[in-house]
Formats: sequence, C-alpha cells, structure tokens
Amino acid sequence: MTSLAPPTLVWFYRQWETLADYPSATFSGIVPDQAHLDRGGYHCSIEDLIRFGNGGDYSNTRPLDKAPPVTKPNGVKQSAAVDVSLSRADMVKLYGRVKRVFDDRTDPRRKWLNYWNAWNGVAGNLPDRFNFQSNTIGTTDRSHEWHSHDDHPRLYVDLAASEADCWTAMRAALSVVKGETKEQWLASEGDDMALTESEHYIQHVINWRVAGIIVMADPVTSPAWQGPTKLWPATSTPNLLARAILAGGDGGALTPADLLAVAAAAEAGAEKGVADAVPGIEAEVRDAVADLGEGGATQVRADT
Amino acid sequence: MMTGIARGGPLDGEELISRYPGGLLVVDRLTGRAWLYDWTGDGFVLRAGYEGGAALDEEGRIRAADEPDYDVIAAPWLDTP
Repeated sequence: MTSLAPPTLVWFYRQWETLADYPSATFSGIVPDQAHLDRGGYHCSIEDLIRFGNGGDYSNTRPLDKAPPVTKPNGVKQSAAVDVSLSRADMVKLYGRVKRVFDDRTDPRRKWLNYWNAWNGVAGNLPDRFNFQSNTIGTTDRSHEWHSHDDHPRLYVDLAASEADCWTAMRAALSVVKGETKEQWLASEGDDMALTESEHYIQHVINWRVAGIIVMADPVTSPAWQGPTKLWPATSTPNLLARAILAGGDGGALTPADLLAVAAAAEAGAEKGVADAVPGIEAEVRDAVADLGEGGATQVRADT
Repeated sequence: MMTGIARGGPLDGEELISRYPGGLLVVDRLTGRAWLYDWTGDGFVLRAGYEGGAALDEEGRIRAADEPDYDVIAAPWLDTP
C-alpha cells in the first residue's frame, strides 16, 4: 500500500483533539483500509486507486484531483481524507458549524474543502454528506453518526505542489471545526482566496509551465537540484528567478501579470539576485501565459 | 460494517458499529482510559481485563486508528462543556 498520511492532515487532527469545545475528539484514521481500497475514495492515494482498479474513481477525475497538477512522485502517494470520532453532542456541534459554511456560498473556506460527512444527531436520519465543490448534499452510512469524515482536493494535500495551499486548506478546515465566522477567517487570512477552482487550476498550470520554460532556458549543470517534484532532469538547475517562482509562486501565489513582470525584469537583467539575464524569456512567458490561459480554461471546462 | 449489541463495560446494552472485523477501541481522552470490545460475529464483548478501562496508550490508539483491525471511537458519554 502506498497511501501516506500527509503532515497537514496529521496536524489537523492533532489540533482538533486539543480544542476545549470538543472533549471527545479522537483520531480515527487517514490511510485506507481494505474496504476503502476496494471501493476507492479520498482515503486512497491515486497510486492505490490505480493499483486496485479504481483509477477512474470519482476522487480522481476533477481537475484538482488528478496528476498533473498533483505531482509525481509525491502527490500521487497521499491520502486526502481524515476521520475524527466524536460523541453525539460534539457531532451535533460540528454538524451545525459545517452546515453554516456550506450554506454560505460566499464563504472563501469552501474552496479548500471537498466532502464533509457529519450527522445532525436526529435518530433515524442518515448522516449528511456535504459536497462543497458541487454544492450538493447527499447522505452516507451510519458509521458517520460517530465519526466525522472530511476530505480535500488532492492538490491541497500535496506539499510538493504547493506547501502554502496545503496549509491554508488545513487552517480553513480547522476554522470550520472551531466555528469561526467568515469574517473571522477573512480577518486572519485575507481575501486572496476568491479564485474559483478553475481559475486556480489555470493559474497553477501557468506558474509551473512558465517556471519550466525559465529553467530550461537557462540550464546550469548540477545534479543537486531537480526541483521539488523532480520535474526536470538532474542536469538542469533553475536560475534564481525560476527558483523564486517555485518557492513563492507555485500553486497560485503569482498571477500571470506577476509572471510577466518578473520575466520582463529577467529579460532586462535588472532583477536583483538573478544570476543571468535570459534573452527572449519575456516573449516566451507572454506566449505561454496567453496560450495556457486559453487552453487551460478549455481543459477545465471539458473536465467539469 | 459490523453492527451489534455490546456486552459488558460502560456501553453494556448499547448498539455499536465497527468498520473493522476485530471490534472497537473506545477512547476516553479526558480520563485517559480505554475499553476494548471484540466482535463475536453477532455482537461485541468487553475483553477480560478491561472492566474498569485500561490506561490509554497514546501511541497504541493512534496505531489502532491507522490499522484495519479495530475501529477507534470516542467515548460517547463525553459531552460538550
């Protein structure tokens, strides 16, 4: 089995277990059991979905759940769901908090969440399954009367793809658990999460592709640095500009306009700390942004 | 899923559900006690020696949650303060 527990999900359940208003909260699982492996879902890594014949599973079809943008070899090995057991009283408290965020379509935390299973505590009612991406509510089995299940778009548990996004996703989930208001969340995190899933995906692809262009335009032979996902050959090393993009921009922190700006700076050799000016890079980046912006949108529309 | 009535311990007579074939580990994190119920095929029986609960092994309960033998559930009597 190659489904790993992402550090962010471990952090999330440990934080939850320390909250005073959930005295019962008890970690109940991240990595898949045999039943999960047989039927698929977000407890399973992409590798395990494929290994057990579930490569076309619902948890591996949407843009943020597939590789790419989920990285190889890291992202495809990660579980993307966590179970936390609760007493009935604590479950009812959680249910109200999850539903409040679900019901407010303008709440920016929704972007970081996927499915959340919880129970309203009414005997005879099956637990609800909130789908934050499609804005629908279904039901799920009775085991969710006593355990919460939440999962996340796979990209947001892939630290190699975007560490910043992964931690934001977990803070968003914890904020929901705590019962924080939308206003409290915005005050603590800012309003930089207003991108839709499609917009975010497009931006992510653009950033990676542009970084790749810059890397390959200025290769410096060194086996020591292959990038966080070993996307490039061992003999290429990004210049400082590309490294800055990878460190700060991957996952959507840099907009296409930002990328054009840094590319222009690189072209002029004016960017302090950039080892070498990169002749022609500004035009390459402009073409890539234009091309990928349109193509990415088309792909996302086809996928969703 | 295994569904049946518990015999013995703090959940005697209650209907329990386990996702795993071994049974259930019931965890009270406030008092640091745990109770182990084994699945018998038609119900859950408190394992001998757990009558008063055992001292909670933190590493053990995390390991149990990660493994597919026993389900780990929060003590249902723990209420929000």
